[in-house]
Amino acid sequence: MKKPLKNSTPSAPQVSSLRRQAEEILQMQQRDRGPVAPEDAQRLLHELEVHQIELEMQNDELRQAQAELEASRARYFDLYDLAPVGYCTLSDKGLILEANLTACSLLGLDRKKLLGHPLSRFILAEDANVFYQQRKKLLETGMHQTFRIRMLRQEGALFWARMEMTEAQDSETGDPVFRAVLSDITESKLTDEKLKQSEARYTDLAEQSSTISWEVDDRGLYTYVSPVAEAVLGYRPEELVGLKYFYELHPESDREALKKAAFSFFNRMQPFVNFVNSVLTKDGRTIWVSTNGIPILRADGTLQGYSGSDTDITELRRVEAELHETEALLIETQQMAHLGTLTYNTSTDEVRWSDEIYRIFGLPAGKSMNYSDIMQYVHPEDYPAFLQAWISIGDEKPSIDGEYRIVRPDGEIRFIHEYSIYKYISSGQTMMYVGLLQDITDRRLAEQAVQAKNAELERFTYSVSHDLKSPLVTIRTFMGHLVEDLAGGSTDHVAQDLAFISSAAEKMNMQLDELLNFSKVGRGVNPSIEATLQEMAQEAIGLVAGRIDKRGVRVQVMQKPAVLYGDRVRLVEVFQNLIDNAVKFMGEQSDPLIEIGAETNDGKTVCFVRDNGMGIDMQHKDMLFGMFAKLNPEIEGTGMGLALVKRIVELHGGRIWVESEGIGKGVCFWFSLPGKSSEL
Amino acid sequence: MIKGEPIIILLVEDDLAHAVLVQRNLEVFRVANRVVHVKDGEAALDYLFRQNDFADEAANPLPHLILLDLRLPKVDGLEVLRRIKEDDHLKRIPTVILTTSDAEADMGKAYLYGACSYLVKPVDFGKFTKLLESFGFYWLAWNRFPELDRH
Repeated sequence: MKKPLKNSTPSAPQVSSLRRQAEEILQMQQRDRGPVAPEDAQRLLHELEVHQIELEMQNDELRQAQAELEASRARYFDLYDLAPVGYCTLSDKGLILEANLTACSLLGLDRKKLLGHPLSRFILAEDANVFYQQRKKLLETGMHQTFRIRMLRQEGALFWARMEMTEAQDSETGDPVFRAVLSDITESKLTDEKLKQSEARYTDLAEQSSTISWEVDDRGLYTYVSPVAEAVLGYRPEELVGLKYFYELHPESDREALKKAAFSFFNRMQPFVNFVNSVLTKDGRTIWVSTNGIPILRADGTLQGYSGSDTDITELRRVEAELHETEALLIETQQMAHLGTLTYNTSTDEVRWSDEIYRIFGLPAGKSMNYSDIMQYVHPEDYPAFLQAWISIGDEKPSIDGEYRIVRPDGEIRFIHEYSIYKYISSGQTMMYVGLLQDITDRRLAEQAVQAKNAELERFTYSVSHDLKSPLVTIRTFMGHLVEDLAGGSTDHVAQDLAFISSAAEKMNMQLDELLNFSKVGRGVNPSIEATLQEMAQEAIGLVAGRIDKRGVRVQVMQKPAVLYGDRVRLVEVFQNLIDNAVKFMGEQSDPLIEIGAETNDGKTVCFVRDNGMGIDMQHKDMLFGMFAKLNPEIEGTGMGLALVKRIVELHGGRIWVESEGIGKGVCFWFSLPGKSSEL
Repeated sequence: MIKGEPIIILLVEDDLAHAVLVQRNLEVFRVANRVVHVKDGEAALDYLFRQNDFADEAANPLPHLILLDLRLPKVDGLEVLRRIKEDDHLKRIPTVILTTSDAEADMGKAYLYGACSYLVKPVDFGKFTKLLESFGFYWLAWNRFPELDRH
């Protein structure tokens, strides 16, 4: 008896009916048995008491089970009401029969107001069809349906809902009902859309920028390649994934090197950034890509592969290379042309110099400069004009085109041609000065040299035409006189005429010899050697010894040895001519003396030949060195001696000048020789 | 010009032979004339400005005509010409250039400084003589000189 009670858990009404049944059964048994013996009664009583206790215990158990059941029901309702999703039970007509609290708050109505309303009332009109379609499908197939739908809260707010519908039967009535599970997915829906947009944007970008995304396994085999690959490489992703190793796309010539480099990253599991390498396309072109990659690790920390991107930079590289070439060409051009550019922004006072400008100014490259710094290098003589040009530049005269000299920090003077414009730049507010500066020193010096040569040539032709013509006029004219006189029988002038003819012819001969000698100086170049002033002076003295002795001139040569460098034969000629000249112009001097020596100043040797003879009027010093120039027509000679000396000295890169304190005070000829550094 | 007074010509010529030729050719003219020969530019200026050797004004009267070579010792002919023409008194003396130079530059400068004629000594046989004849005839027979205080 105990067992069945214990095994089933009866409900409360069941318990009271059980008692009733039990009492009825007891009365029936007592009626059948008749009188009861006292010992039987005693035993029966005991039985009954035990049974009663047993029953009471069962009753207690029963009550406890009932309380547990109640608690469980309460928990169920809590779960139901407070579930994170909304639950609704709908009638077959779509009316809301039950709803949990979440559904109520989703739809924005109290439970008692909500019940009895059709759920469709809360569905956006546009999406109503979706709801009916889904419900129809559910009825047809019996399969639960999940769909997204836009719903409206009671107060009108729109939200995206995920709805899951199933068929069920009402537990009491057995009528068919629907159960709907609702959840607000507005946020996730929006995120989803954003994600889609962003994905689309990314895809566009990836395609436009020719960037291939890829993944490879730890051996370099492609496990994923984005579709852009076809546009960039000519391979469709399926031609690569699982079939090709990344290094197989590289030209054979540097495949091994690339493999080695890539796998050294793989081994260290390091990311690589902007790794520039070449790739062969399917049709055999070589393109350049920039590769980025990051390692993908397995849970155990071992390398699974790499994920990364290849960006086609072929065009970029070509443009870059072109730009680089253009820049290099520009720099080279600037260097070759000695042409520098400088810009000056008047509002920021910022000056930008190209490298060549620094070279032109002899300044260390990159030294920061203000505009006023430029001015300090302008040659003082050219500064006023430079400044004037600067002041006048402006709207009316927007450019400068001129030349000036600059003095480099080391003192070297350079000639500059500047072409500059002054204009407003983009904003129209800032005045920008853009200058082109060209170092034209070499050209200027060459021009000066040409001018000097031309002047020399002019002097030469002038001398030849004038001085050689003179004796010719004499000869021809006296010849005419002779012919006439002889024809007329007059012999008065014959002897004189012949003498004039003879001396003119002799003069002409000498002049031609001197001229020949003079023209040889520039051409027959002997190698430059070192020789002492003493040995050369002694040799020269020997050559004019006759004349020196005849006039009784003392010649003193400085004792201290001085080494000269040049064409020895010609330098001897210089001394010879200067000594000869000194002897000729000794005048009335009773103690004629010639001193020869040299002085060294700043490493330059300056030689002198000094006499105590007639001296000269310094007014005429410029005529001295001209061709066929004679200060004194009484003194013999062609007037070529000093011209020759000047030419020899100048060909050695030196200079000659004369000093005299005046008539009767002697003369000193000085000449400088630059020494070994400058060649003849 | 007082009748019978000789025409004084200052010949500035460093080439002795040429000087002799000029003198010889002018001698043939009936007109009385006197050639004063100096051999360089400095002497010419000394003579005209009565300096140094030529300080004696009576012995060295100013010439009616100057015949000037260009290539001269000491002071160049063009410089002599410039100095003459800068002087208010001397600039009235006609100055004829007689030179071997046919350089344009010389000729241009000579006229710029005020030369009245520029003659180039011809190299051709006999032509110098002809030139001197024409010169003498023109300047000594036809030409009239301004009145000038010559002492």
